Amino acid sequence: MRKPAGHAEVAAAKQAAKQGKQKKPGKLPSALRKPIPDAVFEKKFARMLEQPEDIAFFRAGFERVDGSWRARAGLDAAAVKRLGKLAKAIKANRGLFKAGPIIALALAGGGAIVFGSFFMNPLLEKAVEAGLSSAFGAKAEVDGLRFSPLGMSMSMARVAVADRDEPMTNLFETGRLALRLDPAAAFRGKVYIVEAVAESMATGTARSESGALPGRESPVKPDEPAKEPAPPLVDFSRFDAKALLEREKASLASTAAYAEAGAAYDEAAARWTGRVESSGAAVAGLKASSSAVLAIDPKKLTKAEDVAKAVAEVKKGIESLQAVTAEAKAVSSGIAADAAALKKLQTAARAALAEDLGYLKSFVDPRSGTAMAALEPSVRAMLSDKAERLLHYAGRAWEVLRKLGAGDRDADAADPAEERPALAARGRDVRFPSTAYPSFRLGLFRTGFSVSGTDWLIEIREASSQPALVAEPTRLLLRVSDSRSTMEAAGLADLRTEGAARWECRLSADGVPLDLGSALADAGLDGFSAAMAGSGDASGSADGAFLLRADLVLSGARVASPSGTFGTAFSDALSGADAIRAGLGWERVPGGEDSFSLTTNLDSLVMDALAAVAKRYADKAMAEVEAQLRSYAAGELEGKLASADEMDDLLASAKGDELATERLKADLDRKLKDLEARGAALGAGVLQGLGLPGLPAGKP
Amino acid sequence: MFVKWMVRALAALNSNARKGQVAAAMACGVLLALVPSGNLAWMVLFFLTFFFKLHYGMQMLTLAVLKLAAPLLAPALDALGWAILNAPALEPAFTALSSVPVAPLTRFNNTLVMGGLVAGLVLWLPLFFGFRALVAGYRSRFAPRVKASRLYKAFMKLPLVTKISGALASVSRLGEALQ
Repeated sequence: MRKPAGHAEVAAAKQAAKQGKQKKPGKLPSALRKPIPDAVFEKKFARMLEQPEDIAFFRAGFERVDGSWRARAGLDAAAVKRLGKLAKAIKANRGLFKAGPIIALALAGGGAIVFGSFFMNPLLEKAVEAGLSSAFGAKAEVDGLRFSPLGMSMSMARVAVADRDEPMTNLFETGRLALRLDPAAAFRGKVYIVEAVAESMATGTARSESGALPGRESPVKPDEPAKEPAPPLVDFSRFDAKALLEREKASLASTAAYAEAGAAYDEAAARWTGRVESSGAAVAGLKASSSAVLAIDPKKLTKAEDVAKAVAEVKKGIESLQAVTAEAKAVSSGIAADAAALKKLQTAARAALAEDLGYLKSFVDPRSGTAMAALEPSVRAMLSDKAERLLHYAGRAWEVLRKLGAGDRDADAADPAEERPALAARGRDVRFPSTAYPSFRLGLFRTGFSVSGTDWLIEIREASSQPALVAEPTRLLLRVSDSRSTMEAAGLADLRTEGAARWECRLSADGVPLDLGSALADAGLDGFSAAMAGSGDASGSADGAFLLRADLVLSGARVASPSGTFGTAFSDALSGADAIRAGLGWERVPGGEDSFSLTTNLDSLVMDALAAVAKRYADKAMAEVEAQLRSYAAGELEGKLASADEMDDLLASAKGDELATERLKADLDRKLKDLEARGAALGAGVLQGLGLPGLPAGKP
Repeated sequence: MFVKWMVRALAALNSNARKGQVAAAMACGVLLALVPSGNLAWMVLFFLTFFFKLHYGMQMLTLAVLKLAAPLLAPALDALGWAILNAPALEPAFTALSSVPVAPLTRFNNTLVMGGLVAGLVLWLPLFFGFRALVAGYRSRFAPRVKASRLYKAFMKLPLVTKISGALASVSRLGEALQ
């Protein structure tokens, strides 16, 4: 038997104990109390110690009994304590793994499970609500969210998102929604919903409380454009020409033209009356002052002085006449010019009457397209209501998609990593091509459900926050069908190229019941219904421009409550017609006005239907319209031209004054000549006897 | 902290801690010092060491000392990493790795990370055996002389060292209880 190297130490310890250190020895660790096989003692105990003195002490504390090692009896407290420490060191040196961190890891895993069970789902629910609220700009509610990290799946009992523009209404609301997530993307902090399936979906459902976000005002909705008034349709059987004229008076061209001409006459008459009166008074005064001069008889003048005096007075009268004559001429020519211009206005006003007659007759002319013109605003308003609602949803979807994309683009722009120069201290990054994931990607959303016998199918594919990273554009499929009809819209929104975003949609319908209710009641077609089939295309771009083209065929059309001549005739025509065919066109150009076109075979149907009506009523109605208009013109319109007679009187008066001045001038000239001749005669007689100088020659 | 690691390292050299554990801790310290921190690869390596019976104090001391010298090694590690990352034969593997979830978080495509990782892993075994021999040599030849030296005795009697030794003993008891 090998003597342990530490035997002397153990003996010394025993001796010390005997000398009075009566400390009671403790217990050895359990691993050392049991017998240790020979091979195990060296391999798993002694060799686990590193310090030679500790190894020697350890070996000395044991003795070999029956092929195994046992702790020596009678070890004192210090030896037992030291062996205990060595036992701990032996245990620490055994094996490769630490139990502590493994236990800690297990505890952390257990904590994660507890967290997931009690806290993760509510927190995720809040996070999803916050994300939806941010994307749609309104409150969102998510109920019953369950996330399975191992299966990377998520389900929600209900999702409702309020409409930002109508906070008391939900933009959409789904039933149970199940999502399958892509783990590869999730590990990179991205959300890739590979597939989402909703049990049901509804839009425009009412909310019990407002969905507006706190501190965010609801956007002011632009005023809806006023409905374009439709030209009224005439009921021939109860036609009242006078009522039609009264209703349309304000819009007649002749009314305005007569008013303009009448005002012009009144203004001209007022302007010229004073001048004509003053001119007439001046002419009368001159005539009076000239009468004494004109009354002079030259033969009775016998003296040269008297003749000379009379000549001077005549010359003075002629000079006074010149100013009066000029004024009389000016007044006369001015009034004549104004009268000519006023005559033109008068002629134009009377010509407008002819146009108005044609306009009024168009109301009772079944071939003029009035029926179509009456229907178009109603059809357009009806289509606008439907289209505006669809465009509202499309616009919100477009906005959300672009917002998601903008978020990623902003994030990319904000990350300077790509531009940061590689620093030697931080090494250099070598780029390898890799699969890139957008922050959010919805691979497929599908919901199919039945409501009151109608099957709905909605599919959205590849909605992404960074469309450029996805090979496909975003697609939408909406199909509504029942046992008799199918309606489908297949849309595409391509946002992959920044600045060139576009969308397009293909529409088709077959056997879709169309019930317009009272939408066409104004045209006498209350309760219009038909079965609709057709197809169309719509496309647009990010700037708001869009183009819609659709061809529709309405079969089995009927009017439940036709009224009026047109409605009745149209209803009769429908019963014998094969189908109504319509071509719709609607184009919106940014910054411009919408252009809307509707081409149908309605006109020909209406024309046929109204042919008989026209035969019976239209000619009579037209004659009544003409008579009423002429009566109106004679009674009301011509009265507005009362000042025209006054102008004629003024013109006549002015011309009379002008003529009077001309006559007076001729008389004065003649008198002057006579006086000069008399003067010459008197002068010649005196010269024969006295040789006196002759009289100065008078002016002609 | 550094003093604590030094005390623990000295205690490890002069205790019954196994040579292999001390040597592995030093080799791991070298590996962690060569790989730049702040990426998933470093963190995984660091946390892995917690699960093995390595001498933590020695590992941290080695890591701290060599981290100071890391800038001196950076050019060599950068060159090694660049050579590996641009090796045509390895390009398909790295490209595939780029698309593997989580892998990009390791920043394996960084020259210093790749160079440090490869150098550390390649050197790990030689370093392990080298350090193991050094520890054995220290314990058999220098330890008795060091323990007998007045400097060592004076150092171990420093109040700070005494406190740390006491604290470490408590921690050690807790650790042993957990094990």
